[in-house]
Amino acid sequence: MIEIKNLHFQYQKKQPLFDDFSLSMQTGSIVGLLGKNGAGKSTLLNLIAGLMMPQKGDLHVNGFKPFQRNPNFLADLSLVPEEFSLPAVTIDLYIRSMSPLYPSFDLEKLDKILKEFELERSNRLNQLSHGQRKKFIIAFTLASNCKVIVLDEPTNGLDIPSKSQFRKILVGSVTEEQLVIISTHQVKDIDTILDKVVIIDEGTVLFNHDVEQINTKWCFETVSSLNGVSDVLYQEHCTMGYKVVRPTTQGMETPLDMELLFNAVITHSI
Amino acid sequence: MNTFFNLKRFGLLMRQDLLLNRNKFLLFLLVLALAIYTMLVYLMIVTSPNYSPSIPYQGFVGTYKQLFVLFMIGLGVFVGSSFSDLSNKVKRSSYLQVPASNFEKFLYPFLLRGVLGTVLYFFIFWVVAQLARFSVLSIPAIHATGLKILSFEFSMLFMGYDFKNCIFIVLAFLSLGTYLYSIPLFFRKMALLKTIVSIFVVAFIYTVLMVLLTHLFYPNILGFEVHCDNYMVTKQNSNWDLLVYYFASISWIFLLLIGYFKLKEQKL
Repeated sequence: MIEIKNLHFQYQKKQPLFDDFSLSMQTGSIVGLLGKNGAGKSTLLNLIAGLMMPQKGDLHVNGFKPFQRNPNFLADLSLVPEEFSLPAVTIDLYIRSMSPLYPSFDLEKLDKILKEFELERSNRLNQLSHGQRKKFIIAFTLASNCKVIVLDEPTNGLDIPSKSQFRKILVGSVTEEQLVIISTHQVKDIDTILDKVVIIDEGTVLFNHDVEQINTKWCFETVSSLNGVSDVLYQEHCTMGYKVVRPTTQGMETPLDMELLFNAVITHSI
Repeated sequence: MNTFFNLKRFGLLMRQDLLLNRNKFLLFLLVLALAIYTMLVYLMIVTSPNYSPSIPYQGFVGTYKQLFVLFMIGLGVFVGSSFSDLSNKVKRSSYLQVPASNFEKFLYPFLLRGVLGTVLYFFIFWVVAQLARFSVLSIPAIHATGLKILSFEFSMLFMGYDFKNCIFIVLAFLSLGTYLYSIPLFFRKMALLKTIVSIFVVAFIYTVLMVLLTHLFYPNILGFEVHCDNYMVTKQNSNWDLLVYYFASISWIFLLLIGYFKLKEQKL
């Protein structure tokens, strides 16, 4: 679905952000794209969405070169950027004007999601709060049924109940034919819905594993003391003692602590 | 589905622009039409006491022309807003993501704002001019003076010009419109200011080039003076006429072509 080979990209008069960068993502999964500030997450998403042009290398999304912005490619890729702009019209008018441009758009699905998000078609987009507008744009994107859905910081601006609603709606609406890429700093918001975790740093892929694989390889625990705890790969002080990452022993599976995993990867502990 | 041009997709794109922006378009046109109507009525009224049958009377042709030019500036603003989304990074992202080909995205504002907009604005001006004339002549005090106001016709705009000049005016208008249309594709921010600066830069470079050529071909000329032979190429046209006609009549083709490729290469 997404094939990136030996990609090179740099902003003018700056160090290369990606040099010889390769990554592959398949359909039927929700991928978490994580990285530190400035690691290039948003740039990578923009490259995938055809908003930027790689200087070298191959980048194919659904068999298209994104920057050519082929209309069939654009009709099958939907991006929710971190910052977005919506016209000063009602939700209904926006839907009537924009949805016909997406051949797989599902109006019933949209109405269902809007209802869950407590949004009315008669609401004016310019009179909604930032969080409500974000919910609308997420609803519209999910209803577009595009094969690739790219979400950049989707939970920013959402209140606590909306975050869990978002997780529920996302999981319920994505099919096996779709690929969802979520880039976020708020890893706790999405740790339960991911199928795969990709961590990038300094223009390279540091970590690229399925959640299932992660669970079979590592376990995430909180211990009161490090005494007697063996094989600690990474540790972090916390109020209850220590959070540790250890190799999984047979039959032992713990819930994935995305923040701990991220810190362990970034410090090259695993 | 054709990736370069698809009629259905193109229609949907035009519909989308009309639906999302119709209120803005109509409000702008309404305000402009009201302003022109007010100005026309005012000018017709203030002129009426000076009316004397002994003075050759133009029937407000000059006023119509001036206000038509003013109205066309409004059309220029309307046409110039074609790619306004590109001036803002956030809006540019949404615009580039709209599922349509670059050609369709380039063509629809040209047709919608350039062609249909021009037809609509011309029609509205005609209606406003007729309404203003009717309103003024309906005032009993003015009616009593015997004031004559010609009914506005588009042929009035070309009064005093021969056919060749009329063609030139139309083509120059087209080139100016195309220029306004494609400016945002060349300059993202402060497009108007950058356009004015660029015109001065081009004029300066042109003048310097002419000075250099003058010194090359006419060594006796001194300083910053430009010497150019003026001669008749045809019975009516000098070499300078032809040069100006040439630029006015073909520059729009280049602007459209370059504009299309600039849109194609737009990045975030």
